[in-house]
Amino acid sequence: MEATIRKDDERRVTLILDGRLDTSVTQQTEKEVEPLFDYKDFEVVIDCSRLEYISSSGLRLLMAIDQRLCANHCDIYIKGLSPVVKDVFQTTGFVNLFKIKK
Amino acid sequence: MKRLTLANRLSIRIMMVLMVMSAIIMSVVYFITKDQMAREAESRYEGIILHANEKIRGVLSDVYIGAINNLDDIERDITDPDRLQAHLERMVRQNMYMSSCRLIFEPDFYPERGHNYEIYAWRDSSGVVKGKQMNENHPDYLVHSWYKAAFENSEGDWTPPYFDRAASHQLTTTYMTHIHDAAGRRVGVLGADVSLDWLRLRHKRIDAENHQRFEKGFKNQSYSFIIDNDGTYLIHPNEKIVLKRKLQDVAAQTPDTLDDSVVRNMMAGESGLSHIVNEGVSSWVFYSFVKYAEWTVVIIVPDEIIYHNGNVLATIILVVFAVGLILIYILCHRFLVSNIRPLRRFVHAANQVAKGNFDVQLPKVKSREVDALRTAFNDMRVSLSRYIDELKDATASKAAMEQELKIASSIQMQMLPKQYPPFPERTDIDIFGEVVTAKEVGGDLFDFFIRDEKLFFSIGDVAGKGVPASLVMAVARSMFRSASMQYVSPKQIVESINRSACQSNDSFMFVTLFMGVLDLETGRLLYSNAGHEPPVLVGSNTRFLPVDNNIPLGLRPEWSYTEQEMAIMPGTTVFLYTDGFTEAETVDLKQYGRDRMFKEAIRLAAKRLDSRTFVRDIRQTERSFVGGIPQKDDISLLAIKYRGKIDPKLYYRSILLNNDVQEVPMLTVFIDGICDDMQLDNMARSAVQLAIEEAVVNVMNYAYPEGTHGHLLLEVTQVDDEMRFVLRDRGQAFDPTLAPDVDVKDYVAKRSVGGLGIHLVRHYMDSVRYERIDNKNVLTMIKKLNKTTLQDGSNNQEG
Repeated sequence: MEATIRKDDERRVTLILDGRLDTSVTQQTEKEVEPLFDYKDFEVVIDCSRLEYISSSGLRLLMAIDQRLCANHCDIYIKGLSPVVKDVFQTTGFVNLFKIKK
Repeated sequence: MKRLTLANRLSIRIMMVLMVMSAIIMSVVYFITKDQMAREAESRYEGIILHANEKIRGVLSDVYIGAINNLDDIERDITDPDRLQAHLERMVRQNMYMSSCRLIFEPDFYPERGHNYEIYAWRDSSGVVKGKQMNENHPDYLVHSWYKAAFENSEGDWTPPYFDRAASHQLTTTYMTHIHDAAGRRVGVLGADVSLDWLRLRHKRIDAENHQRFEKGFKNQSYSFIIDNDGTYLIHPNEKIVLKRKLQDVAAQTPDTLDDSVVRNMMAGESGLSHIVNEGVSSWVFYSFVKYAEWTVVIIVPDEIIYHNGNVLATIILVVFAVGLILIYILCHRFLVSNIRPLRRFVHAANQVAKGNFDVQLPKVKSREVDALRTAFNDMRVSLSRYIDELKDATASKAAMEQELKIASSIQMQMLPKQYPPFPERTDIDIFGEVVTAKEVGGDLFDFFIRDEKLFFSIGDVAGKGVPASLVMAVARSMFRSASMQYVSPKQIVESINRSACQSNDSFMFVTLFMGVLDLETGRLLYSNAGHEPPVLVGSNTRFLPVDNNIPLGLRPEWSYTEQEMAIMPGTTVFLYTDGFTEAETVDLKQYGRDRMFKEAIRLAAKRLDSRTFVRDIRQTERSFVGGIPQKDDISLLAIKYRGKIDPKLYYRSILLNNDVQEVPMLTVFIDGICDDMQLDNMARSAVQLAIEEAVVNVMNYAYPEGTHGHLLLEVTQVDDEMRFVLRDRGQAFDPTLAPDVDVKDYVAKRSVGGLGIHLVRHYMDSVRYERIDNKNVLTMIKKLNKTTLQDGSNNQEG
């Protein structure tokens, strides 16, 4: 699992999730995304095109990210969901929680 | 640059000191001697001129006294000219330097004898004294300066030398004094002549003598001359210039002014010596003033004559010193060389010894120090030769021992099963074993054989290494064989081996041993472990084989070993190893370790490898971990894969997990393998992965209080179109199915996250059931394999 934060421009930052976000790596990933919370009034894109798998702990992490970024007045989008992960999002209702881009 | 020999260096140093010393001495002696010799030469020439001075003064004084003493007689007999004549003749006769004398009377003193009267007495060339009376007419004499001077001076005076043309035809000087009669009347003058010819001859002789005695062979020789008080030459080797030239004129002709001042000193009546350049020759001039005559006697001696003897002497000293130094050098050098020569032979001898020739003889030596060296060298040679002999023996015996060890090693290797596959005709069992010894012979052993459809196998490790360990190992192996022929129960076999081992164990060597008997029909494994590492069961449920703590063999004969039992599922590999494998260390002493090996075994388990490949791969993980460090201990690996009587209808896999979320990747590999077997498509695979992970993590988080240790066993079976996942744990009772199903919309609104996991399990599994059996939580999850799923899977694979 690898989480990369990439600043695209003055308004937008992208979080790239790569690999399997299962319970064993959630804690580590939580630390890796910490710098994301320094951005205020940004558009944040969570790029899941390389995310192979997500478990409930991963979902919880996404929710925590969402809450903290909302407090930072950021707009959050999720893009590139694979069918497998999208299924999980649907199952858990996360599709209602995040704006999802094609 | 070639280095100097000791002899050369030492003699050169001695020479340098001697040369400095002798240079100082020589220069002092040289200058003193030279100066002394010069002084001597100077005083010789000074003596010569002083002698000449004395002689002149003596001669002139004799003549003067002779004249004065006869004045009274002459004045008494002034009236008798004949008697006066006799007086004069007597005067000349008595006085050998007086060449002649005369009385010149005032005009008309004897009227009867003529106007100008003169009495004359002389010594002729034969030495006979003669006399005559003359009456020559030379009236001018009364006004001659010499005549006047005779009267002006009360005692009379010497005339300047003149050439007597009248009588002797020689250079002459005359003492003139006046004569008065009794009445005090002026009578005339008495003249006593001294011919200077004797002086000329004398100087000629002295010069010749000097030339002969002191100046032989010199280009420039000394010469002497006499000048009078106005510088006119009186005596000179060059007679042409006598009375004709003056010294000051000669001196004035040269550009040098030094000689002019010397001449002035002479004119001033001084005596002394000076250094001048005379006719281009650097010379010493000695001069001495003759008092009465007011002449100066001069001798000129070239420098080289003055210094010659000094130089000669100094040269002789120099040569003697030089010859002495050379002699000292030669003697010193020869002495040193002869004393050091043995050292060269020592070098030769040492080279010989270095080449292995210990019989060299050393030369006899004189000096004590070198003799000490010789003795030491000899002792060294003797002991070296002895040591070499001992070393040869030791090496020979070591080589023999090494050879024996090699043979022992090959015998040991022959003891181990070495043909793989060992049972090529059998399909139910696949065995591979390997021993890598750290030394030539090791203490590891394993063995296996089949008797009555039972596989007897064992692995062991003898404490220690080398030959003793290998001997014990050989004994243990044969004990295993014989005991296994006799008994079927591992307990009995191990106890039998233990008793035999204790009987003959005087050296307190012990053996750790794992031995098992696998029933190949049923997969039932009976085993007993005597202090050995627990084997790993590698398969769908990879785990360590639980082992009781029995003591190693060979320590206590009465020890009762326990026997354990385990059902081995077909497809499981029993992996046995010795501690050399798990205790392999990296260069910074990090152990490969049992945990790492276990993880690697789980990883490899998913690959379902045959036993040979499994052994090779797991060994490779250890090799790459330690990174090329030579192994310290023997390593033995034995993999026994039980295939069993394969029933295609039964599918069974299991995995044992710790209650740690870090075990999730292991779980992922495990589930992945099952999904492969079921040929699930991506979506179904992910669904199963997610549901099982959520269920497992749930148990990890809730069944065991935080910080406590526990296990979870997950077993998977497949019957017809149903996959059954059974999760068991010994934690506190916890029923996840009791949790209310979450309202997705509700928690999204609340942003709360409880119950998400069990929601996913329920969603992705077709059935979830919880039971509490024997203090265990048992969660059974069923996933139906519908045709579409399978179909999709096959489609996906084709795509």
